[in-house]
Amino acid sequence: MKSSITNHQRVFKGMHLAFLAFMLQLLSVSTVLAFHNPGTDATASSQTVLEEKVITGKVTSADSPEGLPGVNVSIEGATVGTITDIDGNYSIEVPSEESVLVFSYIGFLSQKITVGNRSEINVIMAPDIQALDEVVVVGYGYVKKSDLTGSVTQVDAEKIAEFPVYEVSQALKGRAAGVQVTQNSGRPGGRIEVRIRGNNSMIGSNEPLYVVDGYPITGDISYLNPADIASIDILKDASATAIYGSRGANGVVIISTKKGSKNQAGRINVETYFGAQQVMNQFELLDAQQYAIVVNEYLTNNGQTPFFDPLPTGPGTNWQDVVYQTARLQNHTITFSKGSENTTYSLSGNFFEQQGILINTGVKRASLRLNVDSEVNRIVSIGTNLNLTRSTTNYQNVDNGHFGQNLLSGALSAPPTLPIYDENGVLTEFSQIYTFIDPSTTNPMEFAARKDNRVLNTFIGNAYVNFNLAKGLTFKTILGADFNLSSREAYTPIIYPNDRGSALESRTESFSWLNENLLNYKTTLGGIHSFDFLAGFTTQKYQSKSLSASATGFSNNTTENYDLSAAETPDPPSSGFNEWTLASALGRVNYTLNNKYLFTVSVRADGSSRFAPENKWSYFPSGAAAWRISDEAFLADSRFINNLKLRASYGITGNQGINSYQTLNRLNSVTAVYGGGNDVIGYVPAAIANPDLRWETTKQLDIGFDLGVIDNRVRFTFDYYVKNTEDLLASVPLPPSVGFGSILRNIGATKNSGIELSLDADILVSAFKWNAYGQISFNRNEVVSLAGGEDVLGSGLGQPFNSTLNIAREGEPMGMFFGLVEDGLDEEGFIQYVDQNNDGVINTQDRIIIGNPHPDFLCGFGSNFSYKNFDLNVFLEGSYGNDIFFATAGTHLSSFNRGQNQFADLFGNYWTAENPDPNAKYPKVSSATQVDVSDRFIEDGSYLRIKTIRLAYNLPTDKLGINNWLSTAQIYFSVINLATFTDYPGPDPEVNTRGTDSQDVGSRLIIGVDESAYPSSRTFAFGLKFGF
Amino acid sequence: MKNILLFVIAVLTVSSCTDFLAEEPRDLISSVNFYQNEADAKAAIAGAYASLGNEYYGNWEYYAFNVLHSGAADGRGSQGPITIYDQVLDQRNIDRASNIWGRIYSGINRANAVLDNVPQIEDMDEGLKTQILAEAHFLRALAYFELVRGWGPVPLRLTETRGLDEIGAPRASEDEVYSQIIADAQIAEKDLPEVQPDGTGRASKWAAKMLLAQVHLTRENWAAARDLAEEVINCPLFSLVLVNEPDDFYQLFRVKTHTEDIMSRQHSEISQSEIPNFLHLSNIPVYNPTGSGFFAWLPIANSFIGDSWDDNDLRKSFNLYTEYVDNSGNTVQLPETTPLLFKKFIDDENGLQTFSVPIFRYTEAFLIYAEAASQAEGGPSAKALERLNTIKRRGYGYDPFSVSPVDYPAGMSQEEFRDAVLKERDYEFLLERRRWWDLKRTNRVISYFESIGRTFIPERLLWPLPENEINTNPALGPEDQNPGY
Repeated sequence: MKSSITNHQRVFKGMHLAFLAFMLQLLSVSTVLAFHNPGTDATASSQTVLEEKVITGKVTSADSPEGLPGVNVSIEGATVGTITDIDGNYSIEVPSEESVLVFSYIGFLSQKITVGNRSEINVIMAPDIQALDEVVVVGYGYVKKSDLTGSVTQVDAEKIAEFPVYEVSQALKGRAAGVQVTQNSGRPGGRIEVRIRGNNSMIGSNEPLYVVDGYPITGDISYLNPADIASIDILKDASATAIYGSRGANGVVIISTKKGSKNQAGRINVETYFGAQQVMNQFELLDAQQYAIVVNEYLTNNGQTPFFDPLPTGPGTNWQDVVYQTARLQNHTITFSKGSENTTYSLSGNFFEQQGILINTGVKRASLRLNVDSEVNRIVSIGTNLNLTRSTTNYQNVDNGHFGQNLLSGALSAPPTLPIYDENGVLTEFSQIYTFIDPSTTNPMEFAARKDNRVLNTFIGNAYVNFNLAKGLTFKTILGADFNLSSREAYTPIIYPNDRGSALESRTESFSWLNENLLNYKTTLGGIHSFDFLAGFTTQKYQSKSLSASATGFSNNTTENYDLSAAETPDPPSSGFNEWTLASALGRVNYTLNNKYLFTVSVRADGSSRFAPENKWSYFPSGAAAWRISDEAFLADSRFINNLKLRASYGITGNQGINSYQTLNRLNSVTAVYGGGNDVIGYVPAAIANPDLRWETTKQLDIGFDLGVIDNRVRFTFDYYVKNTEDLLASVPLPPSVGFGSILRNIGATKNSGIELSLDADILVSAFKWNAYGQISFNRNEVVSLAGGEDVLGSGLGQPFNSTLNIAREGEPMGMFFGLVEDGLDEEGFIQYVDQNNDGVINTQDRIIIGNPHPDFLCGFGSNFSYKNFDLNVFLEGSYGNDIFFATAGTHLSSFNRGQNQFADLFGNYWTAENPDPNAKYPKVSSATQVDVSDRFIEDGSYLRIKTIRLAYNLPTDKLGINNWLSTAQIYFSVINLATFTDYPGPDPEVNTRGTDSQDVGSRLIIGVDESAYPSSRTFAFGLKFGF
Repeated sequence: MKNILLFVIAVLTVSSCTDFLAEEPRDLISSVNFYQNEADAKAAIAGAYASLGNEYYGNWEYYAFNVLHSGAADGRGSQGPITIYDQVLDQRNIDRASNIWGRIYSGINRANAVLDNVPQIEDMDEGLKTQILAEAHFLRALAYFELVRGWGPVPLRLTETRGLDEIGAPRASEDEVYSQIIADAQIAEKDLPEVQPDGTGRASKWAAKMLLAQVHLTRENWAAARDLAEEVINCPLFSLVLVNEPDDFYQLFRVKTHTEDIMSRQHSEISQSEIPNFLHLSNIPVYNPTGSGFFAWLPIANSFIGDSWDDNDLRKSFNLYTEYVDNSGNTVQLPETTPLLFKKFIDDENGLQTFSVPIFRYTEAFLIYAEAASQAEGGPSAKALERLNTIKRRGYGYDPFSVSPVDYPAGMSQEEFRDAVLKERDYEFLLERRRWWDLKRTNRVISYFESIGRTFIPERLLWPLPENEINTNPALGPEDQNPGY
């Protein structure tokens, strides 16, 4: 267990190591290069040109006699080629009879045919059951990876499956360059923030848009079973996201779930794992005797009589052991899939359970998914994706606790000198025994006795009908619905005689429907001009309703929240309603010239109900070009470079940002009382309306390249981007004398720019296979302009901190840490601060920027080894250069004036009258000691974490002769969060306890705070996978 | 076929979009469909009255500022720095002063919204319209009276803020502000009904007279203050509550209304008072049986409520306590860290804070009369002395209208008499937010704090304007901030 208290002197080069490791990977690639001898390359001899010969032919698909247009026909090794015309015909010159023609097309298996002495070669293409591997899903369609013009990162299902997680987005952490995943705390089912290429907005959402099986969902994706996912495509640049218009500015995550494949025999896959989780790091706290000594010192300093005489002996109660547990983790998925000539389906069921490492916390989820696709006849095909999920979260308020006011903070604050239960078996009430202790110091077990269950029922489903109208022309219409019913049941029981008990029941129902109509036309002109046109219009409507009721004053704990009428005092019930609509028209043209020059132009027009009539519509255009240099003649001969594609794109995307009804002159209801205890409802102006509100727009430039070398065994992707977000929605302060504090306006700009590198190398490809991969991304965020150039301060952190922490200041990254700088202790043992402006007083004017919550870079890298039947996966991820505000240390440093327990590090290190050391680590233990937002609590949050190690054994079912009934069988063992290398003194550097979706700019600015975070766990999991 | 489809798409897109994208809120009201009828007018004035609840007048932060500047109590915790009078406020409490300012102005904007919009409503009773407008004038006068006493010159806003072009307003002089207050209060006095059937949470003619009397007292318009007070004293609607023992005062404070109640902040189970929580520890039977108690306002033992307060004054043991009876019937001493606490405001038997908190009480009319008459007439008349003695006798448990052993003697000088009246006000209205304003209007702040061994710097006499007000009000600059901030 690592100390929870700063050891500033401890030097660990964890992050430097991280960087080194990445560089080592680059080295390993150069190793591949060094041992690779192009001279022995099998394809080399085919380049000898003896005689030229023209081959012609027709390409058809297995299920239709008609010609297949747009099929790539190339000569192996030469990478020159052509594509089939609208009737499926082609013509190509080949250098020799030994030449091998390669026929490839999206969704079909590639075929290689040696020319021989033939001059006509007709080919029937067979559909590829693994089609998704070769294509990249983009908005409203898919393209071949090689035809991609935008910046899109694919995360494959296997890598997601390495990591036992509740929510898919957790599995994305460290996997994709430019994607930052922050788990705000370790609470099971807790909030996860995903940022693609930085934060754009100060008020609007910065979360990417999630599109699951074509459906842009309105909530989070916690309903998805990670095992159901076939692929994740992360659209990052404007060329890829502009087709999503006003929702594209934060990037788009497209998730495709598993489907059956054509002509596939029936399959049953069973995946199951069990795990045990433990807390990684506990805080080191004072033991009973140390606590008593500190309390006596505190009372003496206050001029009061010491309380403990004699001092207690023994360690006392370890309250952390009381609230932590070894927690169970289990997950079971069964999937049935099959495909005939015309119909495919996949049906899966899942049960997931994760207990929390803090008692009385956890999450459970059960889900059912059905995907069916069927060709009704030659013209009409249909399909559906249906998902039913129910999850139950056993919630405890843990994050952002202080002074013993929640379960974890309670355990950190409780006196180690007192037992859990008193002699009557009732929870010890600390303030009844210790007069010096603050009455708000609650026995942590009191929180554990509280119930707060949150249930989410999700139904998401969509169905499509696709018409093959003519050759290359399809019309697809999709109707989908997303229905969420969430409920919360809470009860605070009666424990002590004066308790009254309180209960709450709330329900929120949200429903959205979507209609998409897409017309698609693919054609090839003159054999070298290939077009793909897309036009469509979509409409989506969202509605939510909420109802909440609560009551206080129960006579017993029997009926809990199930009979609110049994309470003496009902609170006023509340209800709410919200609705928005979005109508859009979209269009896109992909044009490929000579199979080498790729162009994409797209535009979307979005109309949103949230804006005033004159500002409802906006247009989001984008354009991109890519050049497959490796297909040019001068590189065609290269035996080293197999693939080199340059990409450039520019486009505009938007962010709807504001909530519904913000442009109206609204009135809020309030309550007045005239007499007799009767409430009277009144209406008051809610805000000054701003009908000029419009979208935040983000203009993004992206330049990148994809490189594949040495038989494409080493693949490298580089992207540079600049995103300028303008018309930033800002809550602009008003003089409070107008009656309102602020108004929402489009003022201000932010900029994110960065570099992303990713590398994937098959280093060893023989019996012993070694694949290494890694990514690193550097994002620089800057607040370019703010309303009136004025700093915007984050909201206050609350007690014990007197001032705010985060600041948005022009020219600086958003949310920088802003505070006082400490200057030792004064002659009375209180903390002194540097008088930055030398005016003789210490006040808010002496605050400066004291830390940066944004990392210099994020990285993730790993290796997959396989030898015979064994697979070993190792994955590490890290963050470098970000600071964390360790608020837990602040709340504890000031809590001795509440008589609460302290970090062990305090003992012997505080200022005393006997030894008035101005450089003592901790100030005088007295009620007059105050802390403020200062550099004392700024810590380096850099870390490198061994996220997963997984060892699997694949049963050789074929050799055992049981493959007639058991096709695959795998057994594995994995460890999550095995080790973390960091200087951060708190329990976990992956933390952001104040993360919020609030549209309050002050709350939104608060980032990088660790206040009694629910700690992450270390998990040991054991799993089985069977395919029948 | 393709052309047909494209045509269908085009038609669908164009024809339906305008309706589809229209925004129609259902859980809120917008100004487009409000201020149409009598019900809307009633809802608008109720909104303005809500400011008297926990938004500003009854808001604990504002209450704390009044109590903790009165010299009767020290603040605890984050309110501690308020009672360090030799320094300007710390940032936390500067922020609180800013909050209070914003909330008072929010109340003013609501009153202005009524005054701007209700006159245009055609579909309503004219008498009710006049009354509602009078109530808005009253609420605006009350709010500006709070502002001008707390901050000095303040921006004078007399119309509802509806657009960004209306945000500039300079600090108007105290004279201008007071003229507006008097003008508003006079309209209220003229048009308000003698009795509000809904309850004393609404302003009556008598409440307007009390407000005007207070304003005139503050402005030293002695005769005007005296005459208004006399009218109230003679009003048959009000009478003194008689007491024999300390707890009898709970007939005034453990109830929703009483015969001395001219106007009060009324509470309900939903809109509870915030005040009792700040007086008590948690889990104190009868006073505060709930688990929440902040005991943030700690009585100052060596102040005017200490030894110098006659133990025979029933109000002393009514207001202060050192021990209480727990659920088992045992007498328990308060902990040594907080040996003495206030108990004028307490919870009801369910632990709810539903009792009313006075805005204007009948007894104040007697003391305004006594002070104003003596000041206006060059010394205390027999009638003025009788009015002072009436209140003191009641406080000691004697018949208010008969000679008692505790009567002040005749023949006091004007100055002695005023001191006696102010002292009586201190005891009668302890924690009722009178004393800080009394100290200020009689220029005794610094001398009083000196007398209890504390230094009070002049910068603390006015509260700071919010930083946002200075920065974003185009008519203000840094020079407009009050001294010390």
